[in-house]
Amino acid sequence: MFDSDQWTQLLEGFLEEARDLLKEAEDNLLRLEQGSDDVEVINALFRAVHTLKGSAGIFSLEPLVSLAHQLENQLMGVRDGQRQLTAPLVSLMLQCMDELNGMVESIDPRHGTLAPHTPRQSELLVALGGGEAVAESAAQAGEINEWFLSIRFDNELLRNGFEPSSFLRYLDRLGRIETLQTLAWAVPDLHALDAEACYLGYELTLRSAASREELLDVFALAEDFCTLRLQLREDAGEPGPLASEVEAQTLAPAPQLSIASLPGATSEPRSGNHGSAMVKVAAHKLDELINLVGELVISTAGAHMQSLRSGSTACIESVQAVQQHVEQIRERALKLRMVEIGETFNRFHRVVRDVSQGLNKQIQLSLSGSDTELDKTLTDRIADPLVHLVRNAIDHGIESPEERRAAGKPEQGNLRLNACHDSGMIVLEVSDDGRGLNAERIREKAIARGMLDADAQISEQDIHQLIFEPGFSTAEAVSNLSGRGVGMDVVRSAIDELRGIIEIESSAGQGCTFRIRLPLTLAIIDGFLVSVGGDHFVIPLDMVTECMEERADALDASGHLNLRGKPLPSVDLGRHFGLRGDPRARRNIVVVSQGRQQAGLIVEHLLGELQTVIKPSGRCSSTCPASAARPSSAPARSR
Amino acid sequence: MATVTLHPASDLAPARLSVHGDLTIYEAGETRQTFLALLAQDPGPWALDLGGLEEIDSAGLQLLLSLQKTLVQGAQVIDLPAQARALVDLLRLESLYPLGASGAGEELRDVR
Amino acid sequence: MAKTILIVDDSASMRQLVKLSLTGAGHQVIEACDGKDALNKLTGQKINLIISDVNMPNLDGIGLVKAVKLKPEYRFTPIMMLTTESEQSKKAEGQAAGAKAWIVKPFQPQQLLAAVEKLIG
Repeated sequence: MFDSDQWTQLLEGFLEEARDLLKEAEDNLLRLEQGSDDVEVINALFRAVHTLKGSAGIFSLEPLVSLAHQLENQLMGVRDGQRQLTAPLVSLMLQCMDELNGMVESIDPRHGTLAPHTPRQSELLVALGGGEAVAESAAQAGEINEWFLSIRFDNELLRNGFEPSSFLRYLDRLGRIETLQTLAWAVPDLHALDAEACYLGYELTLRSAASREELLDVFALAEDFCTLRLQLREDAGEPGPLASEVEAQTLAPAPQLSIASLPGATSEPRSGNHGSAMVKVAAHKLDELINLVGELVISTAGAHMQSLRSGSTACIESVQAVQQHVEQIRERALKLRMVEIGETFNRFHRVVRDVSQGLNKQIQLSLSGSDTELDKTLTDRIADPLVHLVRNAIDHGIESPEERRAAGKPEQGNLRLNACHDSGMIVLEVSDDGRGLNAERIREKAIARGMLDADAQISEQDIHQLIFEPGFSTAEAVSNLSGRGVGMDVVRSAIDELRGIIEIESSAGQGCTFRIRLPLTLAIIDGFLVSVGGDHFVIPLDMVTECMEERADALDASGHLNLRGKPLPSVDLGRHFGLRGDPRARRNIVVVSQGRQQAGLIVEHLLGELQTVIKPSGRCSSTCPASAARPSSAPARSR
Repeated sequence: MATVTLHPASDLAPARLSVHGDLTIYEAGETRQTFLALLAQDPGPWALDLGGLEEIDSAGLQLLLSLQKTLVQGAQVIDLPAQARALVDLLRLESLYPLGASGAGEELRDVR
Repeated sequence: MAKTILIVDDSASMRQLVKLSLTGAGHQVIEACDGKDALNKLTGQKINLIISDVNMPNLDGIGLVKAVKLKPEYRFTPIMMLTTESEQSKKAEGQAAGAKAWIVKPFQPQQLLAAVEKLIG
């Protein structure tokens, strides 16, 4: 029916959708476990699994279908109030989702085949209640329930070619219609009758093993022309109270027709908040675009220089107009790659859950600033360091319930992830209310490891920073979560690579906050151009707080300037890079700040603002002497 | 096409309406007009002889229900072919069942 | 009960697939290779359902739906679209014209049959 290219394309679309669906399912499951009583959460969770199952069916991915089916059954039980969502059940479902993810990843879109069930999958199937029922049909696997359906048809139903009795016949095949009442009271007398309009409605009870979705599906084709109420009766046979609340709804987007939400097809918005006006674009295409915009910025700057040199006013003006447009394009192009941190944050519900259960700690995770936007490249690269910090906080920061009780704290620990913008930087915080860093222990350890002189005078801040040194670990027992002596140094190098910094704010017994500051984007920055002799440097404009002229006697022997009575650690760029400056030139000080640290850079000329494209360079700027407070993104030479 | 004929009432029996052919949404509009014209001649009661029906759908059933409502003293169905019976069964429209399988319906038929 | 279904698709293999599914379920099938051919074949006989492709030469699926709605003896005939078209606009256009079900290829025969049953079962 399809050539292999089409098939591959369809499969690729499916695989991408499957990943999204599983992600959505996991998020919603965790939200549910945290006590969300929003009906839409369980519905969205169910829909995601159901859609996954349906789509996988078209591609004949049987092992995936059967596992998804069992998961769906469990979810149905939870949704219909027959099953409690216990912690073990959540764990089982999460494992199942992991396994489904693994299956999705193992599918090669060129062939689209899936190996039969592994022992692990069979285990999950049994645990989910599938057991030997793997080959069983959906109807047999489900329990037989008694449903109450109330159906009202729109006047236009018949004229649109629908025959209501067909729906009833179909229902009768899904189970057994026990009672049926045709509501004909609305049929008017002949004088008032519109013979092609529909006046009928039905109320019926149905005994069936079909799921709610399957029942809703029956009417999906006519969803615009009917209103349906579907209720589950708890004790089939006994006219007891209704198990679930009456649910009035016009039909939800038809899940079975989600053949329509398959690859290539436009899907209905799944959870409402994903607007339909979204376009998915491969990340690499965006990167190509942003790279080109980067080149455009550079060549426009070149054109601007040439125009100045030419002295032609007309030329200068038109190049300036071009520059303005390029600037707008740059801003918009960068925004395209901005994503909310929320999606990354949401992954931590799972991390926190798994890690805290492994350690028998009770931890409440709270998120704030989820709508803070940052560059997609950054979110991808900051996720792992964040995971490390979170694990570290749970493992080492937050105490066991017993310890916490003894310390007069609530047994449940608090972990907070926060994101915000602060003067052109993204700030990400991981805070816990645990025991805080033990500066004394860190110091002892550093001395024992030869990282620090025994009589070194360093601030508590600097002691804290020692935990980011390679090979430093204070964990008494090496747990399998963190504390293997790898980690914190990896965190810092990852952050360094992103031109970010990490700060620690710790208060013994009260808790600890790791604060990461990152530039908004990696590619293009607004720079401040300075020069020493013939060499040019660009300082990120966001870092520059002020500029002033240097007085002759300014820099003291310890490398400090006097800034309004306070010592300002400073670096003479010419001397630092070994450059031959112009001795006659007047020198200027650029005060830069990052986080709470300030420093002065001594340069010759201040040349003004400049858009700067950042490209990897072979020789990175070398570090400053340890005594100087070093902004970790030391100025880079401009190209 | 539906062919509709009204046999006038006699001393022994009410007017008998016989419907031949199809009574589906395609015919419903036109058949309604016919019914209305016949109603002007005889306000009921009628006996509905549907034995000649070939096809009926929900629109057709609705039309018959409406007819029952409109007629003075309603309309009694005296014959119903298998397909229509299946639909009436499915919809459990008791009012459209032929008058008692062996009761009044038979009597009426005998009279006819 | 056996129904008569008109299948309209310019792909013979697609028609074959649909036909096999439907005849397997006991229905009668009439085939047409495009919209124009389909209109020619609507000559008064009873048709319970039309299943049509969207992209076809001569007269496409949307055009067919519109034309069928104008034929008095077929104006209430349900029409199911089979398509690889993904654009919402096409679907909306088809629905506005009167297409009832919208099934995206690929589909499994059971899915097609289920939709047929729900419409005319």
